[in-house]
Amino acid sequence: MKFWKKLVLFVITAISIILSISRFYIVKNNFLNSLENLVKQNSNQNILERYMLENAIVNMIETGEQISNEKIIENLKNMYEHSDNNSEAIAIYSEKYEQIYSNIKDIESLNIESILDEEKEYYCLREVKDSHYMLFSSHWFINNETIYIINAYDVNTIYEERDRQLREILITDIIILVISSIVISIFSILLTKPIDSLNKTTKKIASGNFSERVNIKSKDEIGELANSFNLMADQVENKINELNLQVKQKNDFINGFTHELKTPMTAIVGYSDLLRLRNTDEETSRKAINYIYSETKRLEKLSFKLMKLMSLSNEKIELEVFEISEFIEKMVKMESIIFNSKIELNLEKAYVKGDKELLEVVIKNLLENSDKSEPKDNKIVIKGERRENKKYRISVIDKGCGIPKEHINRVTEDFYMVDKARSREKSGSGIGLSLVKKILNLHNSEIFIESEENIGTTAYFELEEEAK
Amino acid sequence: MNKILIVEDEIAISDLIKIALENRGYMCQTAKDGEIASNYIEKNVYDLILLDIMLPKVDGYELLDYIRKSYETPTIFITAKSQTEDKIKGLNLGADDYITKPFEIEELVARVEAVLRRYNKGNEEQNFGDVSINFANRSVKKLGKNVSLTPKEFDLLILLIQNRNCALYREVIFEKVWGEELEFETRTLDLHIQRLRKKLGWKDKIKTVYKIGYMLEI
Repeated sequence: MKFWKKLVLFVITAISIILSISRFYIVKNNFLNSLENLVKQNSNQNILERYMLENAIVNMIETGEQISNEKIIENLKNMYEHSDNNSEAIAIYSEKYEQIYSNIKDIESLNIESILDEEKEYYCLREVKDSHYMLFSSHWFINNETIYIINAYDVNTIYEERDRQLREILITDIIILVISSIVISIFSILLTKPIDSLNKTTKKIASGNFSERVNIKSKDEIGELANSFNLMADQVENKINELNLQVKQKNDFINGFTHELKTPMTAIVGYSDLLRLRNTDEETSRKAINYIYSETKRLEKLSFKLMKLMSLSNEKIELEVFEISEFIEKMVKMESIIFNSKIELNLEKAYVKGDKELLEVVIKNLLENSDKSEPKDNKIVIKGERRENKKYRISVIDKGCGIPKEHINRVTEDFYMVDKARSREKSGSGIGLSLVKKILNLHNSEIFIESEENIGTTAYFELEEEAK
Repeated sequence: MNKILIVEDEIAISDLIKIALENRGYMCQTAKDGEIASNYIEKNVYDLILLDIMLPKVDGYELLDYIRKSYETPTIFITAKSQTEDKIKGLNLGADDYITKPFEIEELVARVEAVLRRYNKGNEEQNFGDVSINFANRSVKKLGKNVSLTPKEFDLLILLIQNRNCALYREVIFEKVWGEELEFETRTLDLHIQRLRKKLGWKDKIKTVYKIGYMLEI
């Protein structure tokens, strides 16, 4: 059952209960009031009638007439027959509760005998066949004999009035309930509408549409819930995007890796198969052997860098403080032989915090990249300068081929190569800069690359400077 | 003679394919990126295109789309991507076949020939002197008369033909025909060569090369 229907049902039930209880009390009080009034009125009437009867009897005594039951009854008859109030009736009983006279309809079923015994004046209500009577009993002592006189008054009017009220109440109550049902339904629907929209949004999100949001502006609890819900959805979306990105990066890495692995493997297998099957001519053999050598070299470099990359993601590094200019000088002296370009140093002295071995990998990679770009002046400059905020910046500057604009942002991606054919010739793997990026991340630093095609490239990063 | 375009940015691989296919008697041209390839396709008519997916400038999917819109040249994808969805994508785009790296060169040649046969471009029946070989149903005729060969004999014949005019090492011949698991038995190989010579009358054509093995000279 929908919540708004429950709400309507609940409110309508409550209203019905309250209405019926209050109505019941009102009708009951009204009825009791009118009954009380009627009792007063009828007892007055009763007193008047008895008085008249007494008068008649006193007259009889004064005129010396014989008083007998028959006479009294005749008197009474006259009295009632000439009275305007025809609804009233009378019954007379003897001492032995025998009915002497009655003009009350259906008197037998009224069970009058039970009330005759009362000493004092007494009234009671009796119902016979849809007619209600108010009965007054009184007893007279005449001729050494007690007779009972019962006066009956028709009180149907107040019952009819009560029934009429009840009917009216029923009709008005039905109207009230119908109108209030409609009004409450409208309110309930309006109130629960935000919940509905919240529900719809939840379903959309559950079906994978994570950018869906609730649009509820109200400031009540539902509005608050909607706000919290949106916050939660933001968090979930962020997390999912993050995870998706991770999966994508992982996939990209695997794709790049398999490509980088399978290509040299295909070549090595293919050429060596060629060589071992056939007695090939000199030229083809040289070609095949050269390919096998260069592709194996490529695999070797790739595996070395990959191992470095893997070891990096597994362990946390220990940073030490050391003098950087001396370190770079030493390193360049040892490595310069492998580069075609001349390496110029321009280093300020400073102590920095870092992992020597890993920083060597970074600088060597940057030098390799610069060397591969074939600087026009055959020169690579390593510049080290102290910056503000206790930073030490190391830049590797070349006047080589540069990186086309559209590639700059992507060069640090795993296996990304600007010019594959060119990179291949120099057994590049496309993994050098991503290794640099990872190492610098461990130093809370990052690599910046500024480059213009055919003019040159500057790659730089900053390290934390330490006082010593 | 069938003309094949090899679109592959790895020069080592494209050279390898070229050497293998040229030896089988195909004419090959290589293109190292999608742009060069599309220029070639516009200028020349090819019987088959071998297409790498990861290419600089215009990638293999795009190039295939372009080929399919304007030409009916059969195309085989070559790629390092081995995921099923990549294969399906390639085949849905209209590639005729799909080969993943690393591949054995024999497999590549077999696929090239299968696709060419499907297009009726490759000769289902190829003549080598007085012997004609039907690659599709693996039957051999000499002067129009059927010659019945055992499966191993047929495989051996194909290997010799695919590497015709090259001296082949005995151990490797054995390995390629009988599989890597079996230990090399020179007698088995010699016996099959003798039977082939006899059945085809190729006593002079299948030559014994001293210290190396055998060579088919056609």
